[in-house]
Amino acid sequence: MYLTLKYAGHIAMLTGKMKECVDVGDAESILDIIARLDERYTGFMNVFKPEGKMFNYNTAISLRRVGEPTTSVIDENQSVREGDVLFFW
Amino acid sequence: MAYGWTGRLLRVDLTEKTIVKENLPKEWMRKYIGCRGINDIILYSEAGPDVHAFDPENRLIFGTGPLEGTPVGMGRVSIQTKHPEGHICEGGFGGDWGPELKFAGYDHIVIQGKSVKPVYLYINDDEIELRDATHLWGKDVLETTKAIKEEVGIPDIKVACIGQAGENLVARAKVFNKHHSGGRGCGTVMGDKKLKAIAVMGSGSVKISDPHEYLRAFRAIKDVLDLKDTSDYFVPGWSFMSANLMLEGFNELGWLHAHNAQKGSLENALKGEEYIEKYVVKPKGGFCCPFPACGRRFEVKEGKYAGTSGDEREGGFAYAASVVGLRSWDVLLKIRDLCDRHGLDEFMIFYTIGWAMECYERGILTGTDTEGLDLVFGNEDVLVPLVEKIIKREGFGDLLAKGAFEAAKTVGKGSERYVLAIKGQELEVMPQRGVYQFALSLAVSENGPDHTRWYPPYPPNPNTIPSNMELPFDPFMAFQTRNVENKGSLVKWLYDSRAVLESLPTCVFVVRGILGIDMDPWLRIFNAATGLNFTSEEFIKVGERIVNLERAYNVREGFRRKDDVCPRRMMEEPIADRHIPPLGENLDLMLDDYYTLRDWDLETAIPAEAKLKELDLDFVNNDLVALRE
Repeated sequence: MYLTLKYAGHIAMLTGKMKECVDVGDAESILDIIARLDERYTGFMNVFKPEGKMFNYNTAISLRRVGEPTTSVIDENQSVREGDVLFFW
Repeated sequence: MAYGWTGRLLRVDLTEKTIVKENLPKEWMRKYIGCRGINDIILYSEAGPDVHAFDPENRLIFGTGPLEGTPVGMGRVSIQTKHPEGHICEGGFGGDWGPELKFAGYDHIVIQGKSVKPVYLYINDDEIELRDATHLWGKDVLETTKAIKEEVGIPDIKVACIGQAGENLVARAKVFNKHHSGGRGCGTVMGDKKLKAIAVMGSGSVKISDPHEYLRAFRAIKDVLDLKDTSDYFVPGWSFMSANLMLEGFNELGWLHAHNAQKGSLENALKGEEYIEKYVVKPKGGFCCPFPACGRRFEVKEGKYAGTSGDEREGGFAYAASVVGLRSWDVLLKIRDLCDRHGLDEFMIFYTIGWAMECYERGILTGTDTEGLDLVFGNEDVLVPLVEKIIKREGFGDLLAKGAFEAAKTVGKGSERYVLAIKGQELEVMPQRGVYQFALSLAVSENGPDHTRWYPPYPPNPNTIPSNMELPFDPFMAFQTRNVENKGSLVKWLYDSRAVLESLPTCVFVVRGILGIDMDPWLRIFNAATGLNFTSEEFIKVGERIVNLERAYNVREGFRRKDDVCPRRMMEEPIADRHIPPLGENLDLMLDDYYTLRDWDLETAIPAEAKLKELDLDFVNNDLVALRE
C-alpha cells in the first residue's frame, strides 16, 4: 500500500525531506505507519508518541483522503487506505 | 501610587499645538486595565458618531498597560482610532517603543486635532515638543528613523512612524516601529493628521508591587513554553519557523485563499522550509520575545531582487501570497521590503490585487484600466510595479490604494462580489469554510477580520487539558473544525480572555498551549505586578466589559447583525479542490448561539440593558436606549 507522506517544520528536520511516497506494506493504522517511519528516521516514534506521554502530545497529523475534506488525526488507531496523504508537523 | 501603571496620560493637540499631561483615572485601571481596554474608553468618550475618521476631532491613541516594560509585556502597544468605515480601528506592534514610553513616564498618548504642516512628537521624559517634520515627509520608515536619531543626537531613541503609504492616505496603512508594525488604518489617520513620527526616550522604570512573586509567576509562564515539555504542538515548530510553520499545512488542509479564495490549495506553493534555507540570515525577535524565529533578518542573495534585505516578523504575509498565485520568495520578499519601508499593510496589498486579478480574468477590468498590466493570477512580473504604483497612488495604483472594498464601489459592474473583506477591511488569511470557529470569530470582530483578537485559533491537544479545569465549553467539541457545536461559547471565551491579555498587555502569539486556556498564570502575574487582588471572575469580567464596550461603539456607528458576516464567496461557494462545502446557514446558527451567550439581541446584536448594567457600563446604556427602539 502506497501513501504520500508530508513533513513540515521540525519534523522535516528529522526526516531531511518534506515529501515522499512510501510503500507501507500491510500497515493498517497511523501507529503502524509511525512505527515504520521510526525504522527509517530514528526518534520518529518518540516525537509523536513520547515515552510516558500521550499520542500527539505536542505534534499534529492531518489526513487527506480522496473525495473527503482533510481531517486531524486524534486517534492513533485511525485506519489508513491506499492513496491517503498524511501530513506530519 | 499605582504599581505597574505610570498613572499619566499625554494629550497632544496638533491643531492648537498644545501638550498636556493628565492623570490616568484610577477607575479606568480597575475597569479596563490598560492598553486596548483604556484606549477603548478614551475613543468611546471622545470620538462619537458625529466624528469622521479624517476629522480633526478623531483621536489617535497609543496605549501601553501595567505589564508593559516588564518581560511579560513583550513590548506590545495598542494603537486605536476610528476607521473610515466608522468602526473601531485597533492594532498594535511589539518592539521596544512601548517599554520606552513607559520608561518616559506615560501609559497612553492621545493625539487630537490636525496639523497644517508635517510634525513629529519628541518625548524625552518630561521634555516634550512638537517639531517640524517637513524635511521628513516623503521619507520611508527606515530613513525617517535614521534621520530623527541623527537630528536629536540620541542613537537609542525609539521611533514609531509612518511611511509614504500613510502620508498618501493609502487604505489600512500601518504605524511602524522599525520592522514591528500594526494598527491597520491607524497609519492612514496618522498621515491625515500630518504626524510623521513619535520619538521616545525614557529614563524611568516600571514599579512592581511584589517583585519576588512577579519573578516566580514569570518563571511559571516560561516553563509552559519550554520546547521539550510543552503540550502545544505549535511551540517547537514556531520557535524555529514562526508562522511559516503552517504554510504547507494550510495548503494541505485547503485553507489557503489561493486565487482570491477560488481554490484552497496551490501547486508548488511557497514553503517555510525554503525560506529558512535560502533567505533567513539571523533571528531578530522583539522585546523579551521567547520565540527566536518570530522576527528574522532576511536577505535575497541572487536573481532580479538580489540585495533586497529587511526584517520581518511573524511571517503571516507568506500565506497571503497564494491570493495572487505568487510562488516566488524573491518577489514576495521584495514586496515585504516595500511594505515595511513605505508603511503598507501586506494583507491589504495581496487581497486588493487578488480582487483586481479576478476582475481582470472575468473581464470586469480590462488592459486599458490596468494600464497594460496583464493581471492574471500567478503573473509575478506585475506585482512589484503595481505595489510601487499603490504607494505613490499613481494611475491604476490610485484605485487599488483605496483597498478592494472601496475600489469595488468605484468600479461597480458586479466586482463587489469578489471582494474578500469584512466590515470594509480585507481578510488576513484565516480560513472560514474549513474552520467554523474562525468564521464566527472573524464575523463578530469589531475591528474587521482581525485574527489577533481571538488568538490563538489552535487549541492544545484536548487530552492535555487537566480534567479539573473549569471551562465554559467542551474542548473536544469546540475544537472540532467543521461543526457548529460549542462554537459560540468557545469564541465568546476567546474574545473575553484575549481582551484582558491585550490590555495587560502581552503578546497573543505567546499565549500558547495551556497558557491559552488557563488564565490563572496571567492573573497571578498581574496581581503581583499591580498589587491589586483581582479574582478570576473580576479578571475575565474586564475582558467581557471591553468586548461589550467595543460592540457598543460600533452599534452607535450603525453596525448591526447584518454586518457580522463572512465574504459572500465563503458563504456560497465550496472549496472544490478540497471538497469543503460553503459556510451557508452554519454561520447564522453560530451567531445565534454567540449572541444568546452574550445577552445581545438576536436581531440587532445590540447588548441588553441588563448585561451592560452588570458590567458597570451604565453610561453606554444611555447611548443605546434610542437605538434599541
